[in-house]
Amino acid sequence: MVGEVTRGPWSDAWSRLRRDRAALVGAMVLGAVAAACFVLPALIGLDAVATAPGIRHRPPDLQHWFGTDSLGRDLFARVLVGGRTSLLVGLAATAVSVVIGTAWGGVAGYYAGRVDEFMMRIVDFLYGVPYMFLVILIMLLFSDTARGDLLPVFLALGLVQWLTMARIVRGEVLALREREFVLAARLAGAADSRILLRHILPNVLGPVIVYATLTVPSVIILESFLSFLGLGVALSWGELVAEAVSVVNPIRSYWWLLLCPSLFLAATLLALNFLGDGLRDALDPRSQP
Amino acid sequence: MSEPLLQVRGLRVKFEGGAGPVAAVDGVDLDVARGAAVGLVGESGSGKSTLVRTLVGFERAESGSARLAGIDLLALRGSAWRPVRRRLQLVFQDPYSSLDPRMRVGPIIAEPLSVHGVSVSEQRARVGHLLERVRLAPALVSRRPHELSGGQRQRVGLARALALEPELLLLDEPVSALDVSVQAQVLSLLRELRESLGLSYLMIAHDLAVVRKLCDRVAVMFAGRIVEEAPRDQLFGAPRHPYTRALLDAVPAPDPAARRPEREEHAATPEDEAGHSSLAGVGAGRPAARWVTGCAYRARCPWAVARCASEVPILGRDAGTGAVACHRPLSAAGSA
Amino acid sequence: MNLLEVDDLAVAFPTEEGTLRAVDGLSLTVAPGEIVGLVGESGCGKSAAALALLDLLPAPGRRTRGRIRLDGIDLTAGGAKAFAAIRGSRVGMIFQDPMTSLNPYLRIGVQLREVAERHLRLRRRDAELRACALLERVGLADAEALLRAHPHELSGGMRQRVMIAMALLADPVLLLADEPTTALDVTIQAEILALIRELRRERGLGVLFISHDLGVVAGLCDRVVVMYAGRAVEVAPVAELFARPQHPYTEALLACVPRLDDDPNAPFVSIEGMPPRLFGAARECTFAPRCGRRVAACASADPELLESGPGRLDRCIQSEGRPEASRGV
Repeated sequence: MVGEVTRGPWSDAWSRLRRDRAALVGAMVLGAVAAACFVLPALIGLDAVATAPGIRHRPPDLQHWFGTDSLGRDLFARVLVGGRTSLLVGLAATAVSVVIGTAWGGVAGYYAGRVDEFMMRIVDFLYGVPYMFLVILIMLLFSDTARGDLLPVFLALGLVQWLTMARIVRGEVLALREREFVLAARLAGAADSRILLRHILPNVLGPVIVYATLTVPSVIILESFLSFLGLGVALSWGELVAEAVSVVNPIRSYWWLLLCPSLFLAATLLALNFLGDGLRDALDPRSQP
Repeated sequence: MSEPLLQVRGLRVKFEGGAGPVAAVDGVDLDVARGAAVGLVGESGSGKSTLVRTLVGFERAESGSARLAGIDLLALRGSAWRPVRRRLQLVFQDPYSSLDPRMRVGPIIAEPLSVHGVSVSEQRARVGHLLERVRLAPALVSRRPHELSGGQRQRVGLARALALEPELLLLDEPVSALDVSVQAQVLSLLRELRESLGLSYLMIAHDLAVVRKLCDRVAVMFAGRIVEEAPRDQLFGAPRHPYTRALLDAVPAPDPAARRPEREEHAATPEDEAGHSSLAGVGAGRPAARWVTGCAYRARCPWAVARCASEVPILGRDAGTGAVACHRPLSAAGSA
Repeated sequence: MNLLEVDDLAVAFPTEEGTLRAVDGLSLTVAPGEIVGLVGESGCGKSAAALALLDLLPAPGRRTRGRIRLDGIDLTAGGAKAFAAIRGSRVGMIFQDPMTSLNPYLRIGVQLREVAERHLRLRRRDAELRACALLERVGLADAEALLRAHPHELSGGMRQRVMIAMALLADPVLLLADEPTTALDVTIQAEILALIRELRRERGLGVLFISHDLGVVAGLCDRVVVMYAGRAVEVAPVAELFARPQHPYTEALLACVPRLDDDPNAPFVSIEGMPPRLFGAARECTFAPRCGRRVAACASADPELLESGPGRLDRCIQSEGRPEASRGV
C-alpha cells in the first residue's frame, strides 16, 4: 500500500489498538470492574452473605452504597461478589469454546475435502439444535451437584459456544493452508502436526483472540439468563436481577435492586464489545491504519 | 546418453472448472538433465505453475509419469515424500508470503533440517553456512521477515530451499516480485550456486531476457502443452513455433530505436471464427473439450490451416536438438 | 499550453517514525498528444504521485504542497470539488489491477453506463450505445454480450480493455495510466500498448504512463521522467534518455535491465543498497550513497533539477551544462 510502514504483525496491531479510544476505554472499564469484583470485597471487608432482617429493602445510603435486598444483605457486596461468578464463568466457558472450537475448526480446515465436510456437517447439525434447550438439559443433568459448583455451568456454556469458533477457525485455516509459507513447510517434509502447531495456530491467533473477546459477553448474558430462569448455581449478576424482579410490586419500588447489578452487567458487556471490536480492527491486516 | 535427472512424460492434470473439467496440464513431456537449467515460459493459465506444483506433490496428476532419478514422483503419498524432499525443492515467487511472518530467519531456514532430525547445534552451523552462501549477513538470523527487503527475503527462501542439499531446484518466478535493480542479487546467486553446488534448475519465468541469461534450455508452454523446447540460442535465435515467435516479438526492449513503427495491422491476435478477440478463454480455464481437437494455438496463429483444427500437433524432435509441436513450424527465415 | 502541469508536488504520510515524504517536489508536464512516462522502482513515490494528481490519496496521506493544473484550470486552488469534476471526465484513469477497479458484483454494462450517465448526462439507451461503441473501439468484439458479463468472466487483457473503454467514455483530454500492463502477459501487453498509441493518434490524448518497466516505456513514450526517492532525477526525450542517460541512477537502472540482445553470459548488474526513505529535507544527493560516480561534493547539498541540454533536466552535479561540472568537481 502506498506509504505503508510495517513493523511486524503484533506491534502494528498493538499501535493500532492503542489509537482506538473506545477499545482503550473498554479495557479500562473491564480492568476496573475486574479489580473491584475480585479485590475490593476482601480489601474493605464487605460481606455478601450476612443477612440482617432489620435493614431489609434499604435504598442506597452511606452505609450501604447500593442499598440492601430482601434479606438485608448489602447489595454492593453482592454485586461485586456476584461479578466474580459472572466474569469467571465468562472466561472459563470461553476458554472451553476456544479450545474445542479451534481444534475442531483447525482440523477441518487443514485437511479440507471429506474430513472438512464431515466435521462441518456435525457443526451444522448442532447449530440446528436450540442451544438454550441444550444448556438447560445439561444443567438439569448436573442438578444434583453441589451448589456453587461452577463446572457444569461453564461446560454447558462452552459446549454451546464452540460451534461458531469452529466455523471461524475453519475459514481462516482453509485460507492459510494455501499460503506459501505453509507450502514451504510441507516442502521441508514437516508432518501435519508440526505445520498445525507451528505455522497454522500462531497465524489464526488473531481471529481467535477477537472472537474469544466477543464470546465472553455472550456467555455472561447466557449465564445471566440461566440464573434468571432459576437454573443458576451461584451468586451472579443474573441471580441478582432475578431476585430484583421477584420483588417487583405496584406499591413500592426497590429500583436499586434492579439498577445496580444491571448497570454493572451492561457496562461490562459494552466494555468487552468495544475491546473486541478494537482488537478485530487492530488485528485485521487489511484495515487502514 | 545418461538418464535425465527429471523425466516427465504425458503428464495430465485436471481441475474441476465451472463448466466442467479443465486440463491445466495437457500431456507434457519434459526433461531436465543433470546440471542443466531449463526455463519454462508461457502466459498465465498455460499450466506452468500447475506443472511445477504437481511435481512436488501439491496437485494430483490424472495420468502420465514424472520420474526424478528413477523415483516415480506421482506415486508418492504422505510420508513417502520425505526422503524425496531432500532431492527436490521449490523456491516460491512471492518473497512476502513465502516466509512465515511470525518466525525469525534462523528457524525459517533451519526448519527443513529440524524436520529431518538434524541436531540443534548442527542446525545452527548449517544455517550460518547457508546465509553465507546466499550472501546474507549472519546477524540476520534473528530478524523477522518484515524487517528484510524483498531481495533479502527471496534469498532467505533460497537458503531454506538449499538446506537439504537438493539436486533439482524448481523455481517459480524467483525474481518477478523484485525490482529490477535488485533482481541481479538473486539471479547471479542462482548462476553461481548452480556451478558450485552442481544444481539442476527448472525455472518458471515470464521475463524472457532473464531466462536467456540463466538457462541453457527453454521450454515454451501454451494451453497446457509444451509447444517448443530447444537449447537457448536456438530458441531465441531461430524459434520454430509461431507462439514462441509471437512471444519474442512482444518483449519490449529498453531501446526506443528498436521501436516498431505504429501500424494498423498488428498481427498478434487475428480474430477466430466466432469473431471474438481470441485473447480470452484460451488458457484461461476453458473446458478441456475445446482443446481436444487440433492445435490450441490455431485461433491466434497467422499460419493456421485446416489440419491445425483437426489434428493435435505432437512434440517432435526436429533437425537440431530441439523439439516443436506444430504442423507448420517456422523455418529459419521466420515464415511457415 | 500544456495539458497537465505539476509543479513541486509533495505528498506526506505520517508514520510511527515521523512524517514520510513519499513525494518530495515532483514537477512535470504533459502536452496535448504527448505520452510521458513516469518511471521508477518501488518506493520512489510514483503511485503516490498518481493518486495525488487525482486527489485520491488514502488518509492519512496528504498533499503537502504543489500546484496541479489541468488544461489551464488550477485544481489545487479549486480543492476537492475541482478534482471531483475532472476525475473520470476530463481525466481518464487506468490502474494496474482491473479486478479491484471494477465492481465484481455489477455487470460491465451497468458500470459503463453509470459513468456515461453521470459525466455526460446521457439517457440510458444513449449511454449504452456509447459504451458499446467504445468497447468495440478498444478491440473487444461482441460488445453487446460483453455488457451483460461480469468482470470475473473476462480475461485480464479484456478487463484492462474495459477499463480503457471506461476511461474514454467521457472523452477525456488526459489519460492517467498507473502500471496498466504490469499484471498482463507480454503478448497482451503489446496489444494494450499499441491500443494506447492508436488512441493517442486518433484523439490527441495526452497520456501520463506510470511504470517500472523501462522496456515498455521505451516503446511507448515520447518523454520520460525518472523518479527516485520522491522526485524526478532526470527528464529527457525517450531516445536521448536511453542513448545518453545523464543521471547515474538512470544509467545504473538501464544497466540492470536484462535484454534479449545482450551477451547471455554477461554478469547480472544490480544497484547496491536501498533507496532512502525521507523524513525531512534531503541534505545530500539522495542517490549518492549508492552512486558509482560519487564525489565529495555530492554529500554537501541536495542538487536541483536543472537543464542539461535541450529538453533535458537532471539532478546530478556532474552532468554537462552544470556550473559545478565546469569546475571539474
